[in-house]
Amino acid sequence: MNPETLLQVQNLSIEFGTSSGRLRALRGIDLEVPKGRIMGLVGESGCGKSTLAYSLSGLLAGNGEVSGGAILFDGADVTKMSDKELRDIRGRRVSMIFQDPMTALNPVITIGRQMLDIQYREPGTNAEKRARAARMLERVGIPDAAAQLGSYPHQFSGGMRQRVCIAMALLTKPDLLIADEPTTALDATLEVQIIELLRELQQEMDCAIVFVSHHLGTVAELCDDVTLMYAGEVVERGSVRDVFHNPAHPYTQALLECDPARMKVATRQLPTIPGMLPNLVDVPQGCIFASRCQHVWERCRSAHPHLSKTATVGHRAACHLLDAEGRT
Amino acid sequence: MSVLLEVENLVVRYPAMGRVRAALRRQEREFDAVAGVSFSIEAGQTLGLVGESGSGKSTVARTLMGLKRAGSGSIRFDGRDITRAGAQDYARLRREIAMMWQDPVGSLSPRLTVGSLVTEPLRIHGKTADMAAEAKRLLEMVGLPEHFAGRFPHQLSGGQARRVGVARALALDPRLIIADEPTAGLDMSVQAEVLNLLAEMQGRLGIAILVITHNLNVVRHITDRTAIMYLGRFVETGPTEQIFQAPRHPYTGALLSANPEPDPDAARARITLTGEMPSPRNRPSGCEFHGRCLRAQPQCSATVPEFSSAGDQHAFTCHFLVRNGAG
Amino acid sequence: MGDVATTYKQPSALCIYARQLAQNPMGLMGAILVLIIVGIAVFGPWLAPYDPNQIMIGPRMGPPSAAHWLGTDHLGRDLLSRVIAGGRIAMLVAFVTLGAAMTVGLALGLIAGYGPKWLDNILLLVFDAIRSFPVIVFGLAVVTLIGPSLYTVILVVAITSIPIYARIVRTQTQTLRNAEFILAEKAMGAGTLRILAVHVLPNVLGPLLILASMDVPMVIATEAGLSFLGMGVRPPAPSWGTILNDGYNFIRNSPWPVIAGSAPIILVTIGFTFLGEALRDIFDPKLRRAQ
Repeated sequence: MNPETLLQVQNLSIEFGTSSGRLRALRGIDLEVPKGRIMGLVGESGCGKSTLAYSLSGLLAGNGEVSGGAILFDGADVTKMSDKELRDIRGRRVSMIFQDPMTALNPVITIGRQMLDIQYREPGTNAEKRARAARMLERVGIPDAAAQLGSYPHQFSGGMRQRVCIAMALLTKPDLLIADEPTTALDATLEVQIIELLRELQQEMDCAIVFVSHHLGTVAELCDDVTLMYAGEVVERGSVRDVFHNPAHPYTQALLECDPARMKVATRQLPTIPGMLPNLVDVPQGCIFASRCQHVWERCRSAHPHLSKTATVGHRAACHLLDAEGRT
Repeated sequence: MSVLLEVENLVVRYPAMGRVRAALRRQEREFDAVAGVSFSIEAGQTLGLVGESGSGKSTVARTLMGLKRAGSGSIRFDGRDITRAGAQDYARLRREIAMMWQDPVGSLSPRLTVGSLVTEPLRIHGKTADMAAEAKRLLEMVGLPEHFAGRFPHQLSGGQARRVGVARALALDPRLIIADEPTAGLDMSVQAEVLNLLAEMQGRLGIAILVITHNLNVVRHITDRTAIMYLGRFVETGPTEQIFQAPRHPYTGALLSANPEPDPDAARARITLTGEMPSPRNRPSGCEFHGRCLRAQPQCSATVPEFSSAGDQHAFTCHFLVRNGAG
Repeated sequence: MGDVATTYKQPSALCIYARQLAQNPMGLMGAILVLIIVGIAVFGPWLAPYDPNQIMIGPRMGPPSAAHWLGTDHLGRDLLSRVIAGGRIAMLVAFVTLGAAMTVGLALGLIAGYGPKWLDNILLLVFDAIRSFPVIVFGLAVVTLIGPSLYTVILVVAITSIPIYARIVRTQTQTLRNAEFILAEKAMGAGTLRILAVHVLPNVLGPLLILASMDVPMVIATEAGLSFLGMGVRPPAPSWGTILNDGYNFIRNSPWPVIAGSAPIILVTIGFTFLGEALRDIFDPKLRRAQ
């Protein structure tokens, strides 16, 4: 493994037991997060991006099960860790921020107390930890930070609460921050603020970030690399510039076309992606996007495409068009 | 064309505290969630009402629907004053004004089938028709297959539920549809489907639509005019294309730049506002945006800006005649 | 939406419930027990081998035999026939009582939950006042006033159950009244009655039925308890409570009458409780989503 690689997911598959059968939520996921880079994990609802993000820190819903593959964090397999080992990396080496900052904070405990609690492994006296917490709150832009340590989560507005969550997540200087749609619940003008804050903090602390989002614009702005997911598979990955400028997978192309922010001229007929997500209990053979793809040909229905190289280094897409010999 | 809906100086108030507490503290008991907005919609036209949470945009919708009383000002629909309309008058109005709600699934009664949901407005208004045929007609209109009539709301995806919402709104051939966040919670590709559907329905049936949203991109392709709302007031109104091409108010500029295009190399004239929207219970002095404005001058906190015209029914409330993005 | 051409056949709601019940072993067991008990109660007169009040010439306090499957009591009456007849009374009390309590509770709960605040406050006060009496003490008080009878039992249990149902309905109604789909109906011009009947009622009925199912054993136990104390069903009419009471006096001579009186109470409790819990899992439409 490349020493610069912090997180490597190899052929990961996750299944959920449901009443109608085993739902194959993630299938053969491969991805890599180098140290100190920001990777965007993008896809529409039902693509499995949140499931993947949660599994990175060993958090899976009760009916979920890793059915194959590995998640190597700094060389150690997260899927094989004991609860104790998981607790050791969570919060210290891997932190998370969530979509809803209100549910991520304990409503009956003050911010200061919660920030002390997550430092329980760190050396130093309580006074030092309090000071560190106050500095961190100030850093994320909470006015009058030292006094706010005594406040409860409900005393903050939505945007401020997300700032508090970020402060808590970064307090222990983790190597990896997993951000699950941290700006979706916020208004647009606050979303901008949080994105800028994340970028500044990432540069200061040099941690890697996995940024889960459905919003292409923010991913383009914040991330270095991007991984696109569709129906439980990675369909394309590469640097943000390569992927957004030269999308290689038809799904990526369609998704980018749908983004209304891209359209320079007003139109009454916006592009869409016709069709529906395939059933993941009975996963169709061949390419997972075949039923909605405009460029579908015979091989797409029979053979499952692997992530193939494109013209640029490090940019890969799972599409038969990249290796279209024999296409009629 | 004739003016269908005309709202003048609408004020809607909400109680901030109990009577006793207000008396003890000698404070005003109520605050203005909507603080004097005026707009009009012509028949067959679409108006976008854009604002962030707390701007009062949903309150406007609820007041128009008669679910909330107007504090002052007037609402005229088709020439009739409906500001103080009673339950009787509203019963008739509700055939002509339909509403699409924010939560696509949550606004559908969970134990009714899609078939009865789309014909519910007909039943409420005592229309005797062949309900099965009506359900079929309405579902076809919004592009849902006929067999969906037997499904329950929880069996629908967000986009499908949204289509059912559109069908319900269309059931009584209304003249005005109020769409509150029509694309909330939908994926990008589905969002476009819903917007296309609304545009198509309007083109075909000539309905006037009031679109309420926090996302400027949503209004661009389906509205003729747009109003930007901040803290219960309009800060900029005008033809949609003009607002997109040449926004005048700094807040409009910030909103526009907050929805960046997915291009890492795009020139980013990003306007990042500091702070958050103040509470309408405690309004700032002067221009209410001055605390967050990048161009704020001393006069902004002292004097309230009047509406300035930027030509062709394009107006904004800022002391400075700012140009697009400059600043 | 270009829905793929899958013809989706909509299974009826009842069919789904039945299938889910069959998949839940506890629920299935409960359902079978309840069916058997209700069946025996309904067809009792045809099933019972003897007249429950007929005094036999045979042995008194006799153990189970081919002629008397559960034995005979201290007067020589056939215990099986008495248990079956007692079951009829128990079921009658349960269904009449819970039916009345549910209907009145539903109406009051809807009024409290959807009506004006002052009415809600008054109703809550009444509910709390009734609930503050222990059921048995309240029952004894009523019995001393109007005398012991089957109808007294029904009246007492119904009155004390109403507040429980009404409170459940009220809470459900209150959460529903601000739901977006109710607002949507209002905006379309639906009247209060229509909103309550078409949109609120179906959503509160589920929890109510589950609660009622779990309450059946409670009602039967109360009836048996009052009868045991001699405050309920008058002898010689057989009630599980009176069978128990008769057997209790002669427990040193024979355990069979006590067993015959208590076993059905235990079976009813198990049956209805299991069924109720299974229904609770099934009735929530959101849990049915996996379909």
